[in-house]
Amino acid sequence: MRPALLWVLAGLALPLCAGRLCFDPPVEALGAYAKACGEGPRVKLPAPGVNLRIRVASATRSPWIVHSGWRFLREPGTKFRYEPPAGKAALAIAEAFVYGADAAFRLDPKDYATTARLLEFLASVPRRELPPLADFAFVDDGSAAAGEVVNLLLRRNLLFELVSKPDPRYELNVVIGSPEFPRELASNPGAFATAVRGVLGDERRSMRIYGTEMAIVRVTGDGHRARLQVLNYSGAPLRGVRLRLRGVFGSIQLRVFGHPEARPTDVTTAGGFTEFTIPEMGVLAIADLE
Amino acid sequence: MFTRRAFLGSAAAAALGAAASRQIPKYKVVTPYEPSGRLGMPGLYPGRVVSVHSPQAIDEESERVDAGVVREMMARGMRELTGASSSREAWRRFVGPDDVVGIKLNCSGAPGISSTPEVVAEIVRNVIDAGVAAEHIYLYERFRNQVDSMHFPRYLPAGVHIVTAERRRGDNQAYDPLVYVEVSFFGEDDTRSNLMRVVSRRLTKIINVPNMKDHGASGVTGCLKNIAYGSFSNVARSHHEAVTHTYSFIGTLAAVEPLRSRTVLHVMDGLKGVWHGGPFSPDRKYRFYPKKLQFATDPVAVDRLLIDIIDGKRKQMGAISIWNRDPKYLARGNPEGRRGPNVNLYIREPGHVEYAAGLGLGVYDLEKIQVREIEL
Repeated sequence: MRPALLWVLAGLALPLCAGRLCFDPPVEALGAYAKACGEGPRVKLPAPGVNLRIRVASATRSPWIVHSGWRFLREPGTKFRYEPPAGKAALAIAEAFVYGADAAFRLDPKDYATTARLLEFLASVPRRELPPLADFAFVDDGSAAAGEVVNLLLRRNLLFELVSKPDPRYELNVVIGSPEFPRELASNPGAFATAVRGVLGDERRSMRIYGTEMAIVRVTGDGHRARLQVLNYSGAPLRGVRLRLRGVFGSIQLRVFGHPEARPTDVTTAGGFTEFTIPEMGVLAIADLE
Repeated sequence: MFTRRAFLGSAAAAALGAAASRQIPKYKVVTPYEPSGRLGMPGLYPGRVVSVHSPQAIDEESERVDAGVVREMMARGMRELTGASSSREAWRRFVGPDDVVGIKLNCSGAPGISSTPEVVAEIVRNVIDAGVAAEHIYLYERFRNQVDSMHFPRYLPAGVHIVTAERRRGDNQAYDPLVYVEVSFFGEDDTRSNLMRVVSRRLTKIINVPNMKDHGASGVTGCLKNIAYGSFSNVARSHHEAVTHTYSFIGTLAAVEPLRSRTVLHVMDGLKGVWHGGPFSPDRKYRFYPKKLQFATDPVAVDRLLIDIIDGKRKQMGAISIWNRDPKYLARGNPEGRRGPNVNLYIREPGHVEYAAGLGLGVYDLEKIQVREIEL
C-alpha cells in the first residue's frame, strides 16, 4: 500500500498574507496594517465560534463549530464579509488569514485594540507559499450536500484536496454516491466524515491534534518544510494542545498570538512522526517545521 | 498458600472469559515506564481486605466526622493488614524517607461526598510519621473546583501540596504527553487519555482514597475507577448514549505504568456512601452511612466487596440492581425521568472489576478474598 500523504502541488494553494484582509471603515485605531476595502458585493459570513448546544450532523459528543474554512476552500474567488460581534473579531480575522481569504471586516469598536495587535502579529509571520497537505481527495460536485460534507471533513481535521473528478494520485478518492460512500450517508455529514476517517484510518493521517476538539488546523508544506496554523474556536484559552505531523523535523518555530515567549514543549520524533505541545494559545498559533 | 504466579494465571483466564461477551476496543498503551518494585497493584497482600467499622466515626445528622475515631480505625486497620506491631511499622511497609507520596483524592462528588478531610489528614499524619517530609506529600485530583470545595488545607500541616490538573475543564498542560492510552470509542476526534504529570514525573508512591459509591456508567466507583479515571485526561468520552466502555477502560488505565507500580495502598473511605446517582451527590437523598474504612493493597478485592455493598443497599431501597441490563430502564423516554433509582443512564458495567482482575490487578473471586472485619 503506497503512502496516502500527498503534498499537493497543483490545485488550491492560497497565499498566506494579511494582504487580502480589509476593514470597513479602516479606522486609525486599527494601526498601520489595516487597509480599506474596495467597492463591490461581498458574501456575508457568520461569526466563528462554538455552539455547545447544537449537535446536529455530529456522530460524536463533539461540539458544533461555526467556521468558514470550508467556504474559503470551495469558493476561492469569492469576496467575503464579516460583521463579528464584540469579542469575535480576532478569531474571524485569524480564520480569514489562515485560509488566505479575501475578506472585509466591520468591527465593533471594542475590538479595535485587539485587532491592531493581531494585525501586527500577522504582519510578523514570515510569508511561506506552501501547498496544502492532503491525505485523500474529495470530489466536490458543487451540491449543498457536498458543501456540508466539506464543512465536517475540515472540522474533523481530515486533510483533503478538493477535486472535480477522482484523482489517480490519491489512493482514496471520496465520491458521494459511490458504493463506499452512498448518497444517503451524506444527509448526515458528521457520519459521512466519520466514515471517511474510518476508511482512511487514523494511523494513515498525516496530522493529528490531541487535547482539544475545539480547534481546526490548516496544514501546508512541501515535504521538507511544513506550517501548521491552529485556530481555536472554543472562546477560551487552550492549554496543552498536542500536534502530530508525519515527517521528522529538526526545528519547530512557534508563534502564538498573545504569547510572544511561547515555545514548543515535549518535542518528540518517533515512528516517522514529529510531535510537540503548544503550552497555551488564544485564537491562533502558527508552527513552522523544518 | 496464595502465590503471585498462580494468581496472575487464574486472573488472566477470568479476563478472557469475561471479555468474550463484549466488544473490547483496540487500546494502544504508550509509556516509557517499565514495571518496578513489588509494591504496585495488586501489591503486598493480594486478596486481603481489612474492614474497620465504628458507629461513632460519623454523625449521620450533622455528617460531622470524629477525627479521634478515624485515627483509631486507621491504626487498627493498618496493623491488621500488615501484621505490624505498630502503626509506624505498618506505614513503613509502603512509604519511607526517600519517597514522594501522592494521595489520590476522590472529589468527583464533592462537596456532598469526597475523600473525607479527616481521613486524608490522618493518612498524611501517618506518612509523615513514617519519615516522609510534608513537602514530599502531594494530594492530587483532576478538577480544581471540586478539590477547592473541600477545604483540605484547613486539615493539613504546612508544606503538603495540593495538585489539580484542570483549573479549567479541558486544560491539558498538567498531563504527560508521553504517557497515554490511545483508543477510539465512538469516533471522537481526540483519542488520547494522558496520565497526570505529577504521577509520572514526581511521585514514587501513591495512596488511593476512594469512596463507596454507585456509578451510573461503571456500576460502582471504588479503588479502580478512582485511580484510573481520576489520574487520566479525556475519559468521559467512554460513555455515549446508553453505551459505556468503562468495562475495559478502567482496568486498562489502572494497569498503565508507572501508575500501577506506584499505587501501593488503598484506603476505602466508607464513612459515607452513595447508593444511587453516583458519582455525584448533590443532596442527601441517596446517601448512606456504612461508617467503615477498608485497607488493602488489592483494588480488585475491595471493589468486589463494594459491588455487593452498593447492590445490597440498592436492593434494600427497592432500586434495580447495578447488574440490570434491561433497556427498558434506560433514561431515554423513561416515565421516571433521568434521575430515579430505577433509571439507568447507561447500561452499567460493574464487570469492570472482574476485567481488571484479568489484567493482573487483583483478586475477584470472593472465595479467594480474605476479609478481616474489625468492630470498634
